[in-house]
Amino acid sequence: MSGSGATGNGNGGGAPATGNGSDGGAGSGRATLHVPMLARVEGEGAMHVLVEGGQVTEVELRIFEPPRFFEALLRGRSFTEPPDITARICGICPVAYQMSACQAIEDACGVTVPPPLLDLRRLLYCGEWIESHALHIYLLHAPDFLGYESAMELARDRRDLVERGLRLKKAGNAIMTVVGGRSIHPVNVRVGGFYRLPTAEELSGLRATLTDALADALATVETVAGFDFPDFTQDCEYVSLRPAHGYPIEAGQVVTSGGLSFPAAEFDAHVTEEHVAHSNALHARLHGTDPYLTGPLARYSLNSAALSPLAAEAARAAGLGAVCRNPFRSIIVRAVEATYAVEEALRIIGAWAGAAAPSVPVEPRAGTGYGVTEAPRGVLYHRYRLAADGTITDARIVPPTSQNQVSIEHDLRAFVQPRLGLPPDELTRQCEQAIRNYDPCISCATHFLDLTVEHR
Amino acid sequence: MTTGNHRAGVLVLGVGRGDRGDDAAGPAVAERAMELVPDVTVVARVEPAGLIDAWADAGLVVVTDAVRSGQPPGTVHVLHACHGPLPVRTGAGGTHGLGLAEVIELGRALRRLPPELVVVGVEAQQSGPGEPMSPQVRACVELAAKAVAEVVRTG
Repeated sequence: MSGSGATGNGNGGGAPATGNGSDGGAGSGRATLHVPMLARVEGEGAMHVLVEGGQVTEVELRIFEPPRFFEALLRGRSFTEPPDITARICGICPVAYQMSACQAIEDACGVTVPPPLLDLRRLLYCGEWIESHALHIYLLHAPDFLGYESAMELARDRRDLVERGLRLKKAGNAIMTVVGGRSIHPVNVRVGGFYRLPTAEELSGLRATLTDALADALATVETVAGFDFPDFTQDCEYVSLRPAHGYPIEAGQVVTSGGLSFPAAEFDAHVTEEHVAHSNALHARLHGTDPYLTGPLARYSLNSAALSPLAAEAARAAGLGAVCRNPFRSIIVRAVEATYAVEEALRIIGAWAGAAAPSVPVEPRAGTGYGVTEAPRGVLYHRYRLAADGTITDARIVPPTSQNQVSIEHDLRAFVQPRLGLPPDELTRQCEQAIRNYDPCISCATHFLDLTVEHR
Repeated sequence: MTTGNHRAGVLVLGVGRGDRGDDAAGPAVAERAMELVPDVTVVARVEPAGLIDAWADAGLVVVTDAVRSGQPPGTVHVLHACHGPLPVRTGAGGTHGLGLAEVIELGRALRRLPPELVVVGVEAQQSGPGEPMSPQVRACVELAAKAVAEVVRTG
């Protein structure tokens, strides 16, 4: 995240750098600003802003999307393989991919996983939420709010803050290691449950770490609530899950702020995806027309009443109402959700009474199955069609970022317009901050993002 | 992913993804090093953001990763990271992760670098989804693993 270099490596797909946007006034000819956004290795992800006559007419977020490749890879593979294969899509949220995959395959095979194993899945998922939210809050987003170029610079001045973030993240890792077998790309998850059950001692061994993590999470809410938030409101539809009880994590009906409620099996009937020229990601819309947003703000706004009393009180003290429509405040929602996830992990561990077996048998059959869970950054949908012998004949994976892309672009257009007069570096910085509101999985592992602003 | 009877305080950690072309070099080198130095703890794949915790109690740490510096693909770099920032770019975490170079600087700022930290990097060429390692990089995995073994033996 050094942000150095005026033109990056030039492969971000933008026009050559010919100016710095200073002639961006109405009807002033044409100039192009090319600013590296997050200094990385390659340039498949990028943001392009087109300004015509002083008006922002287009914002394009170019997203590289691994799931398309994985859908093709999955065809012809065994029904037992998606949890392990799809976990490789994202290094930050492998559990989300595993959980949506298991749910979909079990649905196709007509298998119901017993409650203790579902509890264990929720616990594992809590670990991922804690880890992902702590990483995002402290190492990626807080530096934006506090005026630092990067987490490294923040750490030099505010070591206490970054250490707190790393402690919180480590608590999530500890859950992932105990339940998932290891902290990245857990190996203990299988269709039907787990390969091995954690022992009662292993689970109770997490208590002290999680008790400390709860204090850290609450302190996090308090800290981020004190940040300055731009006055910005989004008006799109919100989409999240809603389970029968509790806050949505590993299961639930899909619900929308417009009042829809449907099961995973009807996801395709409500959500359509379209190709657009500037991105190799598909753009998702509700009923073909309405952009929508999934993720912490949607989850919170549609389920704030389901938070635990402690998390709800933390949210209230942080100034969140029952609904939050300022994407910059998503950092508070993430902190509240991390608090909830720590509490929930403690609750599950406290109530754990063992399970009859680490997994239930899953026999393949011809059919289609659907799975939908709440990844840290939003709803993650999987669909698999199986042949009678369990061979996967078709797979569809709809990750949160592609669902959010239309809304992110819509928000950025409104965000950039009143800020066109800012110096290019500052505009870039603020756009980075705004994009990070959505915690997008634009470019996992080996890519970086360029920003181009084109004035005509 | 670890071997038995490990030397205390010595750790080899691989960074990278197995299905992204030359990004697989880090884990591949670590796995080969596991065979060359069976008395050392090797974790073939660590998420960069997890490194600071992973090396918390170690005295000598070797991290293997794909790097870019403009050298020919397969070039093996042995970089001592305790003295200053890496002079190459390492595979990064995109919009929601951190790369090795960033994590090392974070560790430096937090005063949580191990006493000895060496990066054995392999110059990468390609990193597309589903791509295999390039022949040039694959051919240099052995050389890089031997460099890891040398650092461990002399460290």
